Amino acid sequence: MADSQVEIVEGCRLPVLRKNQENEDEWPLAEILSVKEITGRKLYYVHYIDFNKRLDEWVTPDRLDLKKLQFPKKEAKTPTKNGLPGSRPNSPERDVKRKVEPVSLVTQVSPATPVASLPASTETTQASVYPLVRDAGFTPKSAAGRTEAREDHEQLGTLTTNGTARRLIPSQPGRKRKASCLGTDEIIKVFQNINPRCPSVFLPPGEDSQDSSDGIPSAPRMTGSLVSDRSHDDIITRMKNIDCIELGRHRLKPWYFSPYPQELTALPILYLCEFCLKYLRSLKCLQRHLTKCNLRHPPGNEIYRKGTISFFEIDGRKNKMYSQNLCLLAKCFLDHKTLYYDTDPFLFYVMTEYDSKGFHIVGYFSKEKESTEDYNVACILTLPPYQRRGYGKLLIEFSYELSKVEGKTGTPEKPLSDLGLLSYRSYWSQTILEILMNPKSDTGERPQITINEISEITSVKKEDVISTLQYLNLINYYKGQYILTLSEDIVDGHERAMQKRHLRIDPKCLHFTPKDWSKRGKW
Amino acid sequence: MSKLSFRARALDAAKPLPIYRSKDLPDLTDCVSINRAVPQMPTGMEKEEESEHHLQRAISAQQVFREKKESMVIPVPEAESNITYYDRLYKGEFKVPKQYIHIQPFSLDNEQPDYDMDSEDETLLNRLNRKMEIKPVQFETMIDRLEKASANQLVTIQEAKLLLNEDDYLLKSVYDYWVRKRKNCRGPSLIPQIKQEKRDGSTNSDPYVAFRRRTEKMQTRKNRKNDEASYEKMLKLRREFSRTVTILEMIKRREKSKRELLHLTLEVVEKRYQLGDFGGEILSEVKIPRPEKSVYSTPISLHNGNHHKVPEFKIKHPHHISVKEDGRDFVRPKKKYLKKTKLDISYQQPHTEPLPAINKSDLKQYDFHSSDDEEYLQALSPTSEPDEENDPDGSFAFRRKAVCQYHAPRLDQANSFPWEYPELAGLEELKYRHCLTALSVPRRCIGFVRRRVGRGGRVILDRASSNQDNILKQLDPEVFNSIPSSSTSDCSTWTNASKIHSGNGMSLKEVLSNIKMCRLRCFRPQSIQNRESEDGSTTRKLGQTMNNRRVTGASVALLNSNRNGISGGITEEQFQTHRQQLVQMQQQQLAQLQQKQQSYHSTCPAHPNSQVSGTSDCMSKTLDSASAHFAASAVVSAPGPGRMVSKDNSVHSSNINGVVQSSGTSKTLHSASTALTPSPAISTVQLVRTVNHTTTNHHLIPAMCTSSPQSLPGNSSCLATAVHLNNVSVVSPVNVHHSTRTSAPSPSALKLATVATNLDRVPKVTPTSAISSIARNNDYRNDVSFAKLQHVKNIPTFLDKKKVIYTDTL
Repeated sequence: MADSQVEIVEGCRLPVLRKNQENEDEWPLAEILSVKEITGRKLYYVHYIDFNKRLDEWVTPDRLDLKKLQFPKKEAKTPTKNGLPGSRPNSPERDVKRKVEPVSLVTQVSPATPVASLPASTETTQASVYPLVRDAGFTPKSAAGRTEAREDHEQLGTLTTNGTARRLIPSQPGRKRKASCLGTDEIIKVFQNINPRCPSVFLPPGEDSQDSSDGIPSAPRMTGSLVSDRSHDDIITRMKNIDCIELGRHRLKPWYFSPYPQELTALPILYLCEFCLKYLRSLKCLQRHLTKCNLRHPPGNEIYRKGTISFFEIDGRKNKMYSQNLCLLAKCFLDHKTLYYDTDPFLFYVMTEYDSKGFHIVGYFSKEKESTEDYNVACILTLPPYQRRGYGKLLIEFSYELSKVEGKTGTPEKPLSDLGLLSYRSYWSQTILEILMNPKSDTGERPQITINEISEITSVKKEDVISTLQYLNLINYYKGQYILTLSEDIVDGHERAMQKRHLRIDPKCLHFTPKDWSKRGKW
Repeated sequence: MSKLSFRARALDAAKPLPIYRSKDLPDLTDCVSINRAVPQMPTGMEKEEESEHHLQRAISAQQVFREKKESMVIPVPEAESNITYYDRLYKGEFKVPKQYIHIQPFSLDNEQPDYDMDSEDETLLNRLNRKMEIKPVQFETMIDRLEKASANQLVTIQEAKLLLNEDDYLLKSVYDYWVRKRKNCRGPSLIPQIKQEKRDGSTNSDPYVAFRRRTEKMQTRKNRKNDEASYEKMLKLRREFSRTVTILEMIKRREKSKRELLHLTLEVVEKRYQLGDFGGEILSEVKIPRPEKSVYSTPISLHNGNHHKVPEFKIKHPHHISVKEDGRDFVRPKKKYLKKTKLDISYQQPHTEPLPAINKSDLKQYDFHSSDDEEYLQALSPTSEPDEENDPDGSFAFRRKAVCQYHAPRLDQANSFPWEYPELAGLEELKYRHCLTALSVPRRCIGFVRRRVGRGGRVILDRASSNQDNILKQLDPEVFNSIPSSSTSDCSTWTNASKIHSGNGMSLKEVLSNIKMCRLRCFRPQSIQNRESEDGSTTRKLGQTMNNRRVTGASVALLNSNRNGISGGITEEQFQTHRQQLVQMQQQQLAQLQQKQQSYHSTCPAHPNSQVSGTSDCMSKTLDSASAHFAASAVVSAPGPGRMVSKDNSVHSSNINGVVQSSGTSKTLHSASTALTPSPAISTVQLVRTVNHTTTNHHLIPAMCTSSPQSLPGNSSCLATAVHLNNVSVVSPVNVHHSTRTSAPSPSALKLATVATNLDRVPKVTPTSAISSIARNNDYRNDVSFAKLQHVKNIPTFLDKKKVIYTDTL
């Protein structure tokens, strides 16, 4: 509060400074998703409107353009405290509520004096961002947690414990976690002074879970690997929870939330074993682990090898541990991926690059053993260090090679991410153009091809072929019939792109026999 | 201009699209690409993300440049790849094998501790290592075990000792360290683990819970179930198909044989025609030396599990039919006879009979497209032949029908009358209740007869022929009257008698003696009231029974049930004699009983149950069918009381049969007594009939009680039917309360009993009186209170020994 005449709360929108790729200053509009204080300085978790969530970040107050601050709109459209709809971070109504509720007006307490009691004074009319802790009304377990947390505060505001011990609920009003909202009417406030990873907790009274008013949300569908319906989303999953991941030679900055054990989210760096992907809390642990882990490749069968590139197939049922670890890692970079259910119905194809240390994971895709919707890919990811080097296309190509062996056409599970869309479009375009530009011109007649033929040759699902043709603007209606026209720039662009595409899958190197999973008692 | 006026056809994925280069089509721009018929494909992205700034920028850049431009990529958080200590961390080299790596199924499960030491642990380890040697893996294993043993609660030191099996000092220090560390631990475990779901569903929305088990709602499960069901169906289908195949194969075989038979028959006929063998002599000549051969022997077994075994049937050549077979077949002999006569006359074709028969039936089969059964039938029962047209029976001659199945008589059933087959006498007695019968009006004995009731109550006598008929005809019907009683139907004697009978020749004398010795059941219609007026052809007794339709159901029931045990009627003489016997018996029993009673009294007054069992034992030993027979017949032959019960609520003393009269004379036999209870609520008229049961003094009382409903608004009528006269055990197991005077379990019942006995005492009736009473506590809800039997034992002082057998069915 040192720097704020006005209280900036969750849901506020304001321009926030960020550097663009050209390292120029930009002031895109952003929404405050969460606020925390570290050693007296506030940090704001912002989401840049119309930017992908992966760019969300904690910013210092000086990057905020307070002059253009928009408070959350006091919309009447969210009628009740209960059953708050939507998962959007910008739910303004909570503020209103805050003000209305007598208890909810809580002052900010200075970090030095953590308060475990009801607010002494109300400094502002703004809704308080920092609810305080009250032990009353908690179940023993959570009360214990709180107590512990408080001790920590008293000890110096230390904090680490705090962050992990109590599932700190980010202060998205209207959405608190069920576990913490035990039907009490208290406002709970947790201070984290030091731990940068701990968002403050805010539990608005009486409001129940973020899910619909009927309480326990229905479980999501059990097929597929992605969520398109964000109704299960809540503020926690909207915020990155891991700061940094060390994997082999690489340090990765996660893009999205991933449900690693919560106590690990407070760590500055989460260490993963490069080969088995086990998560470890410290370098020492990793060291110890490596003395016991003798894997030097993903724990599956190698089904493809060409050059240094190999693919390993892992059964999500037979090798749960690895599959789960892989999913946890992947979730850091896949927004729509869901880890709600076990990995049993999936196969994981891990692409590795070999060097003298072993087979290093580059990327992977997962695939349902049996897909009812012609999906040949569930989730697909190139790890950030390997991105934009053609590995993604290689993964995609490999997935279609598998489909070719299976004799099926396939399509990636939806929704696609932005990067996914670009990659797939690029792959489809190149694949289709490759065919169109080298038609088997029999007897000098004008070459022609059906969409079905393209689909069969490439194993790309018909719809994807059509959409690609459309996207490339190849379909024209000429003299009463549809034709495909290849314009100059398309041809040139394609040729240039193909020159850059060095990594290709060699079908001869694929040793793969598809299994009929329907015959083996499923998964 | 008009280019928009036409409608493009929908894009057909199966239609070839010519591929043009733009330069080949200079006029293409005129023909503006019309894509409206091509549905716009969704991108597959979420709407809100589709509009994201960087994506749009990248897409448009691509559209423009047709090539990725560095500046137009979607920015992502940076990653660094310069971990300097990597080589120190990941030690060693890994040689790539030539072959593709194939993982061995169990190579992954190495028993390494999941716990990984951190630097804090290392300090402890170093400290411990000063005193003893402990390897990091050992330490990790200890922590690992401790962690995994502590699900909700930390393991105690004692548990830890069991768990770890380590040196005490080491264990103590590690345990203490672990407890401390665990306390400070932020997570639920020192081994970081993904949060597990909880069964109660409270974690359904916990974002940190992952990899939940797929529940049984899973669609695949459903499919699996379907798979199972369809698999079973397929199995069944397969079974049935294979069965069909078998059946078809068998049909094929059958038809082949038939064809063969037909051909052979034709051949035979042709040959005979050529030889001029019109009479069949040659044929028979040829046949003679041949042994008997079975023509048809087709046990058919179907594969559906139930093997339908067609009994082997042999068609025998006529000349092989033995005398024995004559007895078997009712039809054949006749035919044969006919044939013989024919043969005698002119035809001279005695033995050709089967051939045309088979021939014909075979031919017929083809018309029918017969099933196996039909074929079988026709083979067995050839239709009558046309050459029998001069059959003396004319149009009434027996002709076999094509579709009917004619069974040969079973030898073991033929003539199986009980008197011929003593071994069946017991079982078949009911079925063949034949007994010697004499008619009153044409006074003669008509031999063995079985009575049954026909339409309108007529009694029909089925006569059975026996080889003693000649003798029996000479029998003087008066003999029957001299028979002491019909109680001779005692099983053992009867069996003996039948054994004697089974011999063929039995003289009149023997029969007579059998009758006299009561070894043969005899019957002669008797009339109790007006014997003379009875029609001779019906037995009076039964007739009357049928006339007395108003007899209550109870007595009918009695009648019916008694039929099982007895067969004959009872004459007055029989009755009288029997009564005398009974009186005698009863006196003996009384004497016995008094003795017994005393002993009972002295020994086990408090254990009435044992008494019951004791007495019932006695009874079962001494029970004889004679008395049962008598008891039943008494009921049967006394229509009066029955009518009285149903019609009037009073006793017709005038119409009381001999049984009632006897009650005055005999002390124990008390056929009917009325107990008019004084209680207004229970103004029932109870007709009590006692039937004596041999040695014990227990009187089973089938009591027929009708209450007048008018006088009993609250209490419903009580109809007591005791059907099994000769079995106490029916009553006793239910709810037997023996009580001495005071301790009756049901006060009302006891009271009634007392009243009844009091009443009994006034007319100086014999002590055996039974009272069926309606218990007051049953009122309003009991429509029928089953027999309440009260038994008063001691005759002279009938009040001091009183037993109430109280059976409450409710």
